[in-house]
Amino acid sequence: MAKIECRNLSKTFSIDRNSFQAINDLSFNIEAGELVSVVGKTGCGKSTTLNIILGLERPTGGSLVIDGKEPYSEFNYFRGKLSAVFQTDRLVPWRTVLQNATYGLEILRLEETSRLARARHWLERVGLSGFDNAYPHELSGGMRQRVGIARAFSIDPDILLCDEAFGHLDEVTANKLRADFLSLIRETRKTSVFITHDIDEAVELGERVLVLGKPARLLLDVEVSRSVRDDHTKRGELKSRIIRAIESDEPAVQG
Amino acid sequence: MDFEPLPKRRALNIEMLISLGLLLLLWQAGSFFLPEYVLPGVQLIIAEFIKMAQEGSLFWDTLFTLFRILLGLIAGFVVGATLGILMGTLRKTENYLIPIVNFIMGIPALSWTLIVILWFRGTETRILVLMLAISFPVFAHSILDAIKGISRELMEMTLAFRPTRGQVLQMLILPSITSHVLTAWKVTIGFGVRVVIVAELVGASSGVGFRMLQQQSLLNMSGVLAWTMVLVISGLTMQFLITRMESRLLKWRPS
Repeated sequence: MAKIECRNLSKTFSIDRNSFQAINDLSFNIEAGELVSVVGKTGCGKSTTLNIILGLERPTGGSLVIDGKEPYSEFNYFRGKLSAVFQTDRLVPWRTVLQNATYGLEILRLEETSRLARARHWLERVGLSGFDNAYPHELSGGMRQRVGIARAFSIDPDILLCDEAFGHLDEVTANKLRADFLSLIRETRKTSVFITHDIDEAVELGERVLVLGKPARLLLDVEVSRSVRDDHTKRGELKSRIIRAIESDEPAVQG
Repeated sequence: MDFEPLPKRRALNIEMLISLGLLLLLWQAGSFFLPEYVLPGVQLIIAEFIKMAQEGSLFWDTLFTLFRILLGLIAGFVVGATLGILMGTLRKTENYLIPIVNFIMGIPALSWTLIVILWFRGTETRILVLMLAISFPVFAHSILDAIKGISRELMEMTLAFRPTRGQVLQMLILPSITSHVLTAWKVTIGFGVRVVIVAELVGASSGVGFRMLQQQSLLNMSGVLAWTMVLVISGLTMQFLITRMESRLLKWRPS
């Protein structure tokens, strides 16, 4: 289990002579085993934050460390430790469902028998048995995303990241998938970060919600206790607090 | 393999037989009205084929010519792929190399033929260089495009698992560029078949071009046509084989 520490993180992109600040002085901590939602407007630098956690992007200021190590500069330390479910399924089109589910395991050089066993196990857990030899283009959007989830879980990572994974699905499919995903997450207790612009989803998935402004910085950091999640009124109050914070784009008074 | 009827992909179909049969009929009818040195009858061309087969030249000269084409194209592929990979992976090299590649691509095949005749002695060297010169720009361009076309999303998804360079190449880059490479081979084989003959007309003592020149000096139209058909059929066969390979390798593609 790993914890994520983000200190005064900033990221500025320079394109030709223009520069664009995606993240401005963002700080937060995520403890091992926590389920945290990160919510903010579209284009507020959430996905950039995700890419920094994944080590695909280097911060321009501050630091983000997992287990005390920077994902970008100590790239290979994180072999087998990180997984992500992305906005689009990002399945490899020339691989079958089963071959997609073994993708990460192949990179980790697991031998074939255990590779297949693990991939099949996770495909079954996401409710996709019997489609092993289908190609991604033969599946519906929801089924494809299930393969993506199986692929992410298959390597048994320390940290699971989830970037708007249900955003492009219809509501019924998304609700079902979200519930299934959440029960897998709760069962495995992986440190999880859910990035979303959907406040309902953020409150549903996270036991804590980080609200980001634009450019990304911390506006609000709230616990979502079970009593709040299960109580309709309290939940509504929390959501309006989050909305107010995003609208004002100012750090809210904590409480 | 799955059985999926794909009418477009079938090599033999009734329409094709009808149109080719009709052409043959017209040809035969024409041969009754025109002198033999303009339009020899089909039976004369068939007789020519039998003679060529009995002499053994049908097999050996065709083999020589095909071998020359393939050897030259393989050289062109090696050079073109190297350049394509350089341009696709090292920043700015494209800006330096593309003008040269385009310039060379602009040189007509006939000019190349004259140039290699002046530059080199032996026939084999000339043909090798000629094939290389006309094919490598095509390979370089197609591989550069293919590398640029690799999905950034899939690349990030792959990198998140921390693969080695070899794994990225084997699991993502090579499969992504396969279809471009095969298309380039089809194009260059078409070029090769057309151009190799010109080179064989000059100084070669074997090969289809050489045989054709012989027949022409004997004013034997049936011979010239028979050898022409050998070329057309060889070219089409090679392209057909690549198409077959394509549909095997790319069977994951939505039809």
